[in-house]
Amino acid sequence: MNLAKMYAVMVKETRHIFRDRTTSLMLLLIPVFLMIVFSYSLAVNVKNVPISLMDNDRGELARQFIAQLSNSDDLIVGKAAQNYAQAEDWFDRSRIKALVVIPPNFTENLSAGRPAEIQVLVDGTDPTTAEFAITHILSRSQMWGYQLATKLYSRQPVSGELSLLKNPIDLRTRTWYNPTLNNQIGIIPALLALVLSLPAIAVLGAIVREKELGTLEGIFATPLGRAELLVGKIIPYIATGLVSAVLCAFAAVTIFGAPFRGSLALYLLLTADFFLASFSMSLFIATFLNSQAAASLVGFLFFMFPGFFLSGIFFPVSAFPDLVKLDASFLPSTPFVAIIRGLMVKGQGLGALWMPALTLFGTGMAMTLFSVALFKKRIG
Amino acid sequence: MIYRMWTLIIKELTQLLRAPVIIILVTIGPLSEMSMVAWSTAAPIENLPTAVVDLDRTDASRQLLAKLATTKTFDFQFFLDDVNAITPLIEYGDAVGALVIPRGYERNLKAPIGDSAQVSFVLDGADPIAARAALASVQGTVETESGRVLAQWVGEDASAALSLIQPALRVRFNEDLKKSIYTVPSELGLILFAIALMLASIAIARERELGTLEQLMVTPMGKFELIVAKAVPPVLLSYISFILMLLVAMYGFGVPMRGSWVLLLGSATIFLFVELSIGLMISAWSSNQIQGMLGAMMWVMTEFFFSGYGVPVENMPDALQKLAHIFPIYHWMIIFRAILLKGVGFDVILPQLLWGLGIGLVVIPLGMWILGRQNWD
Repeated sequence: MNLAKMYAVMVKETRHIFRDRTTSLMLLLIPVFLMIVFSYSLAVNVKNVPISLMDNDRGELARQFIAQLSNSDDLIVGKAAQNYAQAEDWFDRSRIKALVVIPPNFTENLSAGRPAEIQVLVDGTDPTTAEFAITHILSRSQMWGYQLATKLYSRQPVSGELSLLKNPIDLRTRTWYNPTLNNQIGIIPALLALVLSLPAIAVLGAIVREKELGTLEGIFATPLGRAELLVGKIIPYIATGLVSAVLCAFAAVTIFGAPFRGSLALYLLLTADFFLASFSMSLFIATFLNSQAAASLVGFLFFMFPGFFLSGIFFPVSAFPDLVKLDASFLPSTPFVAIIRGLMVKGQGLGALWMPALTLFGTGMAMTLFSVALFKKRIG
Repeated sequence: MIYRMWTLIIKELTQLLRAPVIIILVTIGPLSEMSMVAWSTAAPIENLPTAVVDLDRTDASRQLLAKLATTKTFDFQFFLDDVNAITPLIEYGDAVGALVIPRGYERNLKAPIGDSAQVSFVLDGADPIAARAALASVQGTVETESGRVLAQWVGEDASAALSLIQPALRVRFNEDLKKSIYTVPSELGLILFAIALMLASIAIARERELGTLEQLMVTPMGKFELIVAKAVPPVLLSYISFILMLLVAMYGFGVPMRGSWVLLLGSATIFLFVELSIGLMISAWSSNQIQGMLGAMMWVMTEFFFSGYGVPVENMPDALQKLAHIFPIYHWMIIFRAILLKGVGFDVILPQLLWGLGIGLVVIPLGMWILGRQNWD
């Protein structure tokens, strides 16, 4: 491989990128833009689930019970429903996620120390929200029931014994790195792996474009070797990618309070490692494609989409079926998510991160070699 | 006008179908990606690698571990004798958490008075989603175990007397709270919109990059005809992709279809056209295909965050909740879920349909304006 020739390709490609101001700005700034939008939408994670009540009792205890349910930021108790038909309509339009129905003889039964059955209807469409509503409604109403029971019993001698009992098991949890299990700390850094996948799609497009426009043949008529061409082509993209990597991390840390506990130099080094892997993946795919339309579909289907779901940002990779685990490990963003979390959240150095770093490097080398080998056959 | 559009549609279709790779990419690509992602994300979070330090080594401690094992949330991969051995496992990410049962657990658990039996759980918070699942599972198990022991102490009658409120729970629309019923439609919606957008975002930019847009502009065809004709082939392809993915979602992943097919297919057509018009607008603005591609990627990724997948839109900051309305996917996901799961009628989804049409009415003239503004460079 001749370095002077590779340098020439690098200069040509850099001019290509910056000749067109719009494209170069998009390349640099879209990751930053996405980083800001994604982080913003994750940063505030207030759960306030709208629910409604149907009070068929209208007694004193029912009023107290409703006050207990309303007394929280987790459940927003809206207007009371008059009948089931109205509640039904609200469910259909997603105005409420749950309905609590208080039976007619609620106050009467409870005052006499008899249990009262409340009906809880929940919209299960979004299981996470549904579970949230269920947990909060049940725990609030049971807590209220206990309080009422102890009040009733306090007139009887039983209460003394009951209150002496200890809690059988005392669970103490200690959460490292992110004690409040906050999205800002754990998820926002990992999103870097998603937004920084975008330059790989530009690389894919840049190579396929030369094929589509027929300019690749002109280059092949020069004494340039395949390796010089391919490597020279991706280096400028690594450079611009690193600029947006710094901007993205800066936005995550300054605007959204994401932690950056590791070293910046190591971040740059390992991000370059990630670009090497993802760009060489693009090179490899580009050898099979002839149109930019196909390139954009492939870019989405094989980079962005699995990068979102399978790289461990939102779902832990260890919980996937084995076959998918295997597939995810070929995806450059999977090791990169591990690297970013280790570096930014845990403040680790290369000592802990060598494994994913090496995986990326190995993918990069293997894919570059494959592409260099395949490229010739496709052009000749 | 119809005839002129028809000829352009035929030209576009011929051009698309000439490259078989595109056909494969819009049919098998989305199908296989959706199936893989749906398959791996539909299950609850299970088998998290976990360490155990059981210093008590009694029947009671083993019973607690067995109870935790039945939740399937954990995969007890490491059995340690020393609490200090936990640190490297969590630092290096080999284990998500570690459960420590100190000596004296059984003794304290059996005695109704004195100290509570202790259990510690050390957790790696770097991945909050896995951590929350682990935490919920441990807390739930410990609570049940606690309740069981407590009931032994006070007797069944007393504990029954304490629970005055007896909730009767009924979950509607997704009775088993199956995650896949929520996630699979989201994943389907994302792929569908992305494919439609990608196909469209390149359509005009390609003509411009290859210099053939000028030739199109000297034909008697108007800008409106051009945009509509350019939208038809991608709509057709995305529609095929939609039907295929819907069938897999229904028969492969048990997503129910409780509403009217006419309503579903009709609103899908409207929303695909709207999404494509956005793609064409991006395409008209771009001077080459890479710009179109990057612009479309930016749009679709932003849009995805407003589909209610990662974070429900209702939980976002107010400004973003309002912003969500300009993204067709936000309205489409509401319609799609309401028809599939709730089987609602036309009157319920009307506001969302109107929003979709409204976005289309803004985007199509905007696209035409952008198309005319540039000097065919």
